[in-house]
Order: sequence, then C-alpha cells, then structure tokens
Amino acid sequence: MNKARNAILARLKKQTKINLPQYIQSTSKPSQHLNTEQTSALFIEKLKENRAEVRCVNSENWQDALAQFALDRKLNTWLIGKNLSELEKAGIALTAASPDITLVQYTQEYEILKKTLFHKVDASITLAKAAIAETGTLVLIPDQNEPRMMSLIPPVHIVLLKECDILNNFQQLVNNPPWSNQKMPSNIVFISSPSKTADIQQTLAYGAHGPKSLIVFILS
Amino acid sequence: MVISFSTRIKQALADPQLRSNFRGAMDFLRNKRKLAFSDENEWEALKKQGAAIRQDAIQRLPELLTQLEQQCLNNGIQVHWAEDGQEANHIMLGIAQQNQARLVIKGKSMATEEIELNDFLAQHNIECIESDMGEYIVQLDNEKPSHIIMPAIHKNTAQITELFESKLGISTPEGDVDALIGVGRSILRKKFEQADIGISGVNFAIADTGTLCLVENEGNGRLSTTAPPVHIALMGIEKVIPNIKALPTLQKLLTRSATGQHITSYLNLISSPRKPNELDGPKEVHLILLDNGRAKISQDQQLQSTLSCIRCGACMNHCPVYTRIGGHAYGSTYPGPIGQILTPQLKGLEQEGELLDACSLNGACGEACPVEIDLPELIRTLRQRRQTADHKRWSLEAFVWFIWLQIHKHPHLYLLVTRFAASFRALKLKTPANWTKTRTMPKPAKLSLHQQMQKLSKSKNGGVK
Repeated sequence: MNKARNAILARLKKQTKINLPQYIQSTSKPSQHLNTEQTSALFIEKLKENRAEVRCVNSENWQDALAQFALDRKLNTWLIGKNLSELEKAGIALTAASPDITLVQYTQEYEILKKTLFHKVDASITLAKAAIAETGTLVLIPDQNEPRMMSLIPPVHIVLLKECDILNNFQQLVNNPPWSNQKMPSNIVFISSPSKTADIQQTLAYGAHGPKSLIVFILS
Repeated sequence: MVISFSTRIKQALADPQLRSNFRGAMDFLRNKRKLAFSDENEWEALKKQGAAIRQDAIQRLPELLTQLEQQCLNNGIQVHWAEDGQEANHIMLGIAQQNQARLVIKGKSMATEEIELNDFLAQHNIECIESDMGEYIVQLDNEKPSHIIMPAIHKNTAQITELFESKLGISTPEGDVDALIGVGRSILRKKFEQADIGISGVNFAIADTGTLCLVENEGNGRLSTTAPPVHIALMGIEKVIPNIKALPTLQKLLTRSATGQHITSYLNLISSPRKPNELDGPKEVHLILLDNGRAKISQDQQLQSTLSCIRCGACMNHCPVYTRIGGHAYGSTYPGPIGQILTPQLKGLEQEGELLDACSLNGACGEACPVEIDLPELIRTLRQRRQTADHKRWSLEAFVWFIWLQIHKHPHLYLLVTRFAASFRALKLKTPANWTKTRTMPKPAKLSLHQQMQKLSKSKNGGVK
C-alpha cells in the first residue's frame, strides 16, 4: 500500500508548475444585500420551486400545526429523536392529537430499529441548523439525538427551522459555519427538495429513494 | 470480436430511435443549463473562480492529498492508495472479504466504471447492485452508461417499460414514469436494507477537514453511504480541493452545468464513520485514492488541465458529434469531448487515439466547460502527438497540407489561386464520393470574399481603409 502511495506522490511531485490565474474572490450577488424579510421570502419561494411545502408558524402554535398536519395526511407512525425540548413538544402534541398516532423514538442503534424504520414509519421530524435562501436549502447536522436516517428513510420528512437561521447564500454559510471546521461533524446534509430523479426520459419523478414529501415549518 | 469505432458510429447513426432519444435529451439539458446561467457576468466570474480553484488544487496535489489522508485518518476514515484499477479492485475485494460481504450496493460512480468494479466483484461471487435509477436500468439491460450524468439517456420511457416487464416481470401502465420509479424504489430499498457494503464515488474531497462531498438527487447516494455497515469511497486523485470555502463555487458550477439545477436535492458531507455515541452510519469508512494514469497527466504541462474536470457532462451535452452518435459508440467509460481527451491519456494514444477523430473542432465543448478547460486545444494537441507517434499521415495528405500552407502563407499566390478557382467554377470536378454522398459539393463563388469586400468599399464612396 505504501508502495503505491509513494510512487503516486513521487510522480505528482515531478509536475512542472505553470502560472496560475489569480484567484478571484466570490461574486457579489444581489441576494447578499437582502434584509431579513426578503431573505425569508426568497427562501420560501425557492423551496416551493423545489417542490417542498412550507408552513409559517410561531413558537406558540407550531405543535398544533404539526398535529393538524398529521391528522390531515393520516400519518400515524412518527419517528422522533430524543432529548431535545422541541422534539419532546412535537411528540406530546402528536400523541395528544389522535389515539392512532404512535411514536418511534430513535434511541437504539440502527441495526435494531432497521425493520421498523424501513417498514413501519410514516413520517419524521428533525431540526435544521441553518438554511440558504438563494437555493432553498436546509442544513442538517445529524447526531446522536437526530441520527442520519431520520431525514432519509421515512416517506414524509418534516423540518423545523428558525427564521433567524436563514442565510442568504452558500458562501455566507461556509464563511461562518454552524459547525467547527477543526472538528467536523460526522455528517452534514444539505437538503433542497424531496428525493427526486429525472433518469427516465428527463421526466421528473419525486420519491426516488428518499422522502417523497418535504415539509418545512418556519418558526418566526 | 471487437467492433471498430467507425463501425460503432455507423451503427449509431443508422438507429433513428437512438438519435431521437439523444437529440431530445441534449436539447433539454442544454436549455436547462442556459437558463441556470442566464446572468452572463455571474457565469464568467464563477467560471474564472472555478478554473482557478481547480488549477491551484492540481498544482498542489502532493500537499493536498497528504493533508486529506492525514485528516481522514484523524477522523477515523481508512485511506488506501491504488496505482491502477486492478489494485483498487483488489483493495475493494480485500475489504469485502474481511467483512464476509455478499451484497454490495453502489451509488453512482464513474470511477468504479473506469476500473470495471462490478465485473471484478462478480467474478469473486460478490453481487454489486447499482442504486442510481439510471444506472440500475442500464445494469438491468447488461449495458454501460451512455452519459456520465444520465446513464440511461439512450433509452426512452417505452423502452424502459418493456425492459422492466421482460427482466423483472413487472408491468406498468404505458408512459407512467412514476410507476417505473416506484418499482425501482421498492426493489432497491430491500437491497439497501440487506447490503453488506455500500460503495460510492466522490465529487469533491476537502483536504483540510478530511470530508467527502457527494452530490445527488435521488437519495440513493445517501442510503448507499449510510445504511450498510461498511462504506467504501473511490476517488480519482484529482478530486481533492483545499477547503470548504472552495465548495460553493464548484457546487454551483457542477449542478448548473450538469442538469441546470441551482443545487441538487442532497449535498452530503461525510467526515467520519459512526462515532461511539452515534446510532447510525457505517461503522467503517474507507477512502481509496486512485491514480490510474492521472499523476502522469499532471506531469504534462500541455495536458495537465485535463485533470481540472469536475465531470459535469456539459461538454458532451454541447458536442454535435456526441448528440448524433450517443455515448456507447465511443466504447470508453467517459464519452464525448472529455472522454476523447481523457481516454487516450489513460489508456495510450496508440490504443485509443482513434477517439480523437470524432471531432469537428467546432469548439462548443470549450465554451461550455465550467472550469475553462480548453478542450478543443487539448484535442488538437493530442491529434498532433498522434501524428508524430507511430501513426503517420499519408504522404498525399501531408503533401496537400503543405500546398495549402504555401497558398495561405503567400498573399499573391492566394489571390492567384482564388481567381483561378473562380474562373473555372463551372468545371465539374471529380469529387470524393464518401464526402459528397451525404453533402453537396460547394462551388467557388464568382468573386472571392476579398474581391467582394473591395467592391463593397469602393461603392461606399471611398470606403473604409
């Protein structure tokens, strides 16, 4: 193995240098000069273009809105994370809404929960750490409280996002990330739409392998 | 028996269904890309940045790759180096055998196509299933991808409906794409549940954090890299970038150029296997750094920019030859303009130099490239090198071009020849049949362009000097 490594690196070191063009810093886009309201409006517009659903809620009524959504769509088995006050509130609101609604808590390892995850769960709810208005993108950082599969296996995925966490563009996010570059999280996922494909004759179809619906609750 | 490139081209051109499938797909992708880059200034600025980021990274490959390796190791990702496809395949096999793997699920990866991983693992009784819808369709029909972004672009809905019926025994309503995708989803979900290993490519690898970036729409890439207990990522050594600040520019250029999307459904950044307190994600992550001829390309000043490629497919989408013959005719993993310059460099000019013939030097690929690779210039350079290698051009051809050169070098001679051609324009010359079979032989004009311009400027009282 080291043989290959050394040989490859030796070959690479033999390359002749050429004059490089100047590195031009990021382009200034009009969206960089948006105020908070315009940023949210742009984010919502882009999300809708991407076929995600958007609900604007506040800290008092979001649990009710979530419960109503579960009833309207007849979503009975909910996957939720653990130990976060928002998720606890979501769980309480959901189970209070109907006796048919049950919660699956992602508190065991994936291998134990696998069958349930793939075959029982109707919907999940997770939190977004940030969002990008320019492209309608949610930034999720899965961890032990909200494992990676929560935003991937359930057919319906709900994301809870604080309005103040919406940034204008991707460059802003990487310049001031909600994670530490010294200790990168195991996984960061940027989600911009339900799972989709255009692999058959360029025809867009949703629900390829991941969630078929993406619903974003924006907390003002 | 191996069918020659020219025969494959003839076969492709004679297939009206194939040609209409490609024509439709290329028009679609080109329009979408055009809309995504409607702001000309932004496009120019992004392109300049993208080119600078990529060229800088290529120049610093030894430093960036060792940094990437160190950071990955710190994060718990195991790093392997492979000189060529064979070595990469054996590393994969070793990991598979250690884990007693029987079933591998794959996210879309052109690098694994390059090393022909599926066939290799199959020889060792390990089943390798493609999970990208397009790749799954292509695999089901024992074919190879015909496009690097949209593997099944050569098939239409009716052909895929028929394929599912014959291979899977599942019939779906005519023209119902949602139903077809539904079939793929339910079959592949079972595989994600069962697979022992997930294999993926890498779009970009961030050196200073040891992070693998994967771009996709379907979610199969995320499932392949999250569900199985082991994840192996294979990347060409040129895919490394210095830090995350370079990512936004490259992401914008990649997805907009590829499919006209401002961003894909998912951008997945993987920096570590499952940590002790985490509940899911692979327990082992391996990164294989594949050379397979790339380091040699980096040594060549004239050809080095080949490595800047971010595999968006825009060059093939804009290539008039690719649009007409499709991806399979090239017979190489990477078709279209990038394939024409990459394949002969990876496999040798003697063996694959023929690919360079399929170009009209129209320059569309160079204009479409989001990281400013001068593809037409690279094609010309390789053509020249091919001439000076074993493949000498005919003496007659060389003579004709020598005469052409003399005429264009000497203005008086040029004038004489054009006048001569104009005066004898009525003569019917014996023309090359192969050429005129599908084209009309052009006739020299009565007046040369030079004469017409002179006349025009005289008539405009004195004219422009």
